[in-house]
Amino acid sequence: MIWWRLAVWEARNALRELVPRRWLRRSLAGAFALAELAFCGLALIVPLPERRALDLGTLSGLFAMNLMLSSALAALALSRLVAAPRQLELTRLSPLGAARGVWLALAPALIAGSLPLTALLLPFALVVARQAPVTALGMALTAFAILAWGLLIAVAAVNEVVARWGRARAAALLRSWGALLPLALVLAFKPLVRVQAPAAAPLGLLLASPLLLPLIWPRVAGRFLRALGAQEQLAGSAREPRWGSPGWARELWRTLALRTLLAPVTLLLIAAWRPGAWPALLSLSLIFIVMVPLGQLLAPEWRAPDRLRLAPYAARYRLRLVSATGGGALAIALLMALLLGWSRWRWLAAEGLAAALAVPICLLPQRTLRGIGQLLISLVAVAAIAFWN
Amino acid sequence: MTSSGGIEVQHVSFQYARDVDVLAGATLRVQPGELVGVLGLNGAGKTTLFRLIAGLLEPRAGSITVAGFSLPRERRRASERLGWVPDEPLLYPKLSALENLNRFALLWGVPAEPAKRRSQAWLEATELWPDRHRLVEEYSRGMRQRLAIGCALLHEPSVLVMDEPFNGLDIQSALWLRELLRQRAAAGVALLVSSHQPEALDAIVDRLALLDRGRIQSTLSRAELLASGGTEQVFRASQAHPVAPEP
Repeated sequence: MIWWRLAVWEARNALRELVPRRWLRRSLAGAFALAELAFCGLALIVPLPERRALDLGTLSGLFAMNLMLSSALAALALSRLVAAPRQLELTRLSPLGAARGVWLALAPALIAGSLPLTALLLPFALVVARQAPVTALGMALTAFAILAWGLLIAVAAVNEVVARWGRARAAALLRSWGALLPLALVLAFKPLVRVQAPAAAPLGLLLASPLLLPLIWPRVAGRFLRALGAQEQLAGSAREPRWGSPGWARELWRTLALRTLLAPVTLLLIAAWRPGAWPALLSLSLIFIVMVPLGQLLAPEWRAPDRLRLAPYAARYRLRLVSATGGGALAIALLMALLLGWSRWRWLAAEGLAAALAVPICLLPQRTLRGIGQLLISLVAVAAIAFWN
Repeated sequence: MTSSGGIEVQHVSFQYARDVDVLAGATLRVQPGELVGVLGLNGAGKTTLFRLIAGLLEPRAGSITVAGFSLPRERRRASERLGWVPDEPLLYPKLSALENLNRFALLWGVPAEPAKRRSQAWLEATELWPDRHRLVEEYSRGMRQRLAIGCALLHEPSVLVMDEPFNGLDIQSALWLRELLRQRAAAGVALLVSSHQPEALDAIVDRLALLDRGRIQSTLSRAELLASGGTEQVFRASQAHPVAPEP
């Protein structure tokens, strides 16, 4: 089981990256473990509810969320691997083999990311286990099976995309639509996620998984490693720059092209599927219109912060970037808000304020602060739909 | 403005963590037209010293002047005259070579026309011209290094600080870089260069500074260096018989 220990070790590394300060990481982990122990203890001693009152709906909701989060993280990990396949070179050289190697590369994000919701789910699962052990066991096994099949399907799909369009395009596609993968996964496995009876529905899946997964996964993982290992001559090139002009539009087009084209399509698809979600989607999209271009153009500066710290004209450059890109994107977002939310003045004001605040938030140099700020401003934008009607 | 030209590092100390001196009273002077090499083991404090000179770090004690401007007070004016080549190139991977040079010209205040002219000359001299439109993410280590040096020289700095500039260069490019550094020194530029390649330092330096555990242990003139048998022999001797740091 050394590969499993390696996966846990990698997950710990991922946590270290997420919370670099050891004391904070340990304090958080300690508090988390204590709370989890307390909840689990409580789940084992509380009087059992009536069988009818057992809220399997809530539980399956949490279960679905956990799966979505896990698969979202897997999609993210997958897109990172496809974008930077050198991370897999060590795996390719190691005697672990493709099946374990690819799992090992994907495991950290999965383990570290799904931990909070798993912890939340565990006390509920314990209550269910006391009252309906077969259901609980069925749900746990189904979770693993769905995740395993989901991963397999995702990796197989990536293999196909890489084979057809090349690695660079596959990475761009994953970056653009990777976020939809968990949604697709949950929709695909929807009947299984809603476990209302003791594991009757997924019986076939549970029986097939131990038989088929060990046969299929090594092939799919092997093909994945081979596909990413193949040398690919990128066709990235640019025209002569306009000297004295920063060329941000061109850089943006180069890095965002596919995503920019696909985002409105995705938005329209979701809006058509769920018309009620339109105001929230619109609010969120307007914020993204402001944040994405700035974030994209500032990303190389955050990766090499010394450049702007050294450059004598960095302040002027930054101001120009903010006024041209941030200001331009803000103007587009406000114009769109005005066109699509005409006469909803209070929503327009709240949305405009959130969009305007998104610009300085994008300039925060600390990644964690910036991430928290962007999340908060997105939540504010979504909350602004309270003024929609 | 405290003195003219070059680099002056006076009794500079620096700590990343409390009680761990990365630099402990380091003193070094590089005159205009002089090429000084810094030799030291990994962890001796070379990169920290270079980052202090670039104004990316602030010393805990001591003073630093670059091109006559005191750091950190006159950092911006010093930056205008400083060319900095770090061990990892500061290039934009999603831009082409020409776009990178254009972007660096903007950041260092070089007008469009001279920026274009110098960029073309640089790319032709470094044989990067045929690849000028390719994105830098596709470049080899050596190509990136050549471009990074070009970006650092675009504003024609009077002080040049290069941390491991020979890394990743093939023999032809390394020989060409040696020649270039000597030319720049002859033109009056003050150069501070670190390298783990003894023969490269032997070939170019006017003086060699030995950095050990945060202190400049000794500096040798070119004549002293050659008389001692070159950088490699000097290094071996310093390891066998450590000398007291220079006052």
